[in-house]
Amino acid sequence: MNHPTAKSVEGTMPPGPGSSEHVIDVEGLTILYGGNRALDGVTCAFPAGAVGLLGPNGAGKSSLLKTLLGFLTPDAGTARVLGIDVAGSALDVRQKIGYMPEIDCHIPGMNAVALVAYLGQLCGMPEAEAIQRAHEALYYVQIGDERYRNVETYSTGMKQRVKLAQALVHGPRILFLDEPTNGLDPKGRIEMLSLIRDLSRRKEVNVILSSHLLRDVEETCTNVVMLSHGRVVGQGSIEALKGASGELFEVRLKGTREPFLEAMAARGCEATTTEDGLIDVALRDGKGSETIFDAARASGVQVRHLVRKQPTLEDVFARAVGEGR
Amino acid sequence: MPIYDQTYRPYRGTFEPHTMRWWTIARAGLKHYLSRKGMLAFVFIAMIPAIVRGVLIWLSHQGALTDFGIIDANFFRGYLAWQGPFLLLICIWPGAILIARDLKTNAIQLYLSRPLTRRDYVIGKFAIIAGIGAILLPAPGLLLFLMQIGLSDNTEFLRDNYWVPLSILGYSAVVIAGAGLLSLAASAMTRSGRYAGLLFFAIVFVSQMVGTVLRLITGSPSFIVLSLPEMVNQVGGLFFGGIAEQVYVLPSMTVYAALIALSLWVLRRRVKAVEIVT
Repeated sequence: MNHPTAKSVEGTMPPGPGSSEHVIDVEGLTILYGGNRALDGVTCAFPAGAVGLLGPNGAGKSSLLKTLLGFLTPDAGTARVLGIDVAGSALDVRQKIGYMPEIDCHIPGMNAVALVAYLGQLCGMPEAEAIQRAHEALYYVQIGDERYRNVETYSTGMKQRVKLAQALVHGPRILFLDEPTNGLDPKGRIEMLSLIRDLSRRKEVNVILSSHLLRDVEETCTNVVMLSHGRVVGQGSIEALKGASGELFEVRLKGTREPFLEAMAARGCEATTTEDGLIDVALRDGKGSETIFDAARASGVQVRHLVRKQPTLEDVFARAVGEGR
Repeated sequence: MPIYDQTYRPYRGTFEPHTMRWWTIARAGLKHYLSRKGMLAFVFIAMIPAIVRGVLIWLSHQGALTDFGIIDANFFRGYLAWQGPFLLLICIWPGAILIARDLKTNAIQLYLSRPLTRRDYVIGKFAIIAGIGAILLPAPGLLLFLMQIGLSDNTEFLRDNYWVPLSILGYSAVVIAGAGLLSLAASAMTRSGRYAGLLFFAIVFVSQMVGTVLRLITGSPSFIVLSLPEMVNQVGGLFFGGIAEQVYVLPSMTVYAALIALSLWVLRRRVKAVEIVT
């Protein structure tokens, strides 16, 4: 399902590309910036609900979003949003989606109401309705009476909220959020994530959340698509991806680590050292903790600490990105 | 439903067709600038030549100005030429800031993430300059023409000059198109409205200086094609005809068309939702 040269992690997969259950289907998408491949044969599907688009900086997340918006023309492959081909009908696609850019942006000289209403009108909303929806959207994102102030005077947090409101004003079916918690303080971040959850779970808005912050995605999304170096390295539901990670253990050894790591690898298990000197071990194919003791015995080290770990999205992501290289 | 209902609900209303999206940009821009006191004062000052000409027409019909001369096509061409500097000022402000400010605040990405093409965006911005330009050039010109007809005792003037309204419109369209697009191109070259204004000013006035100096040094009038105001004068003369000094019409038209094409090329290159650095 993914690019043939990229190993990938897959959880319980949603139906394949082309399925009507998907809001977005991408097949073999390639974007070249000069000689660089920003996207390299990306094939993935975004089911309804909230989907996280994960990847380190430069992985191709923003390029994928911009291609789906019709800003970039694919060098190969296709992308369909709500069944509409992006390359052929970018305007129809943009009518149905709302986009919250990563960068700081506003239209100079406007207060929040005027800005959001104006952008609603640019979607084709009649003026009176655009103004009413602007008030509602700004209240929803918790910009109260401040909405009459010039946006240029807003704090970063308020600007992020206005960007969300402008993306919502025309009632999009899909919301593209590019790093929505950038620059927010902890309270602002919690409030932003709460809004995103509310939109996807109660307001029937499909959300594509592009972020390099795994916690943001884990707190708001049910599915993820993981990118690394312009390729899909994993996709599926977060729960299923965690389950596919097998049993995870945290191990501390007395003795040299390298022989133990080699012994684990020889047994078909993945063992990686962590920053705090511990070793994370992933056991699959029904292997139990005895494999760890067996490897320790064989490599002449003592196991001093062994704790079963609950796999996190970070574990899944680290493994996917590692394998995708 | 109160407008302050604090929740989000799907939009169930209608969307207007895409064809006139550019007008939303133009309308908002015109409303913004024409509601500013500075702009209103400027428009009033720019109307003074039209008012003076209106008074002259009226006085000539009262028999008070026997030495005033006849009111013919050149009278209206003179009026339009007189309004040229006002149009250039409009091209500097607000013309030169229209795109530069959007580049500075990354607003272009907001515009183009809507169901709006880059062409819609540029047409919308151009329509702001064209709208204000229309208030300064063709609208008063046409009113003066109607005034002359209204005050005439016979149809002689109309019979001899029935083509003048079209000439007023054509001349204005050509001048506004060239100056407006050049101004937008300058605006798209930089994120600073101030620099964009200076760039436009430099293109217009430096070209005039260079053209004039070269013409004086070499004695060859062909260098008028380097001067934007002279070019406009040559091309504008086409619409009113019968001007002896219109000797470089074709070269002027060629250079003028090339300038418009260059402006459109710059706009195409610079107005993008995504800046790709390779």
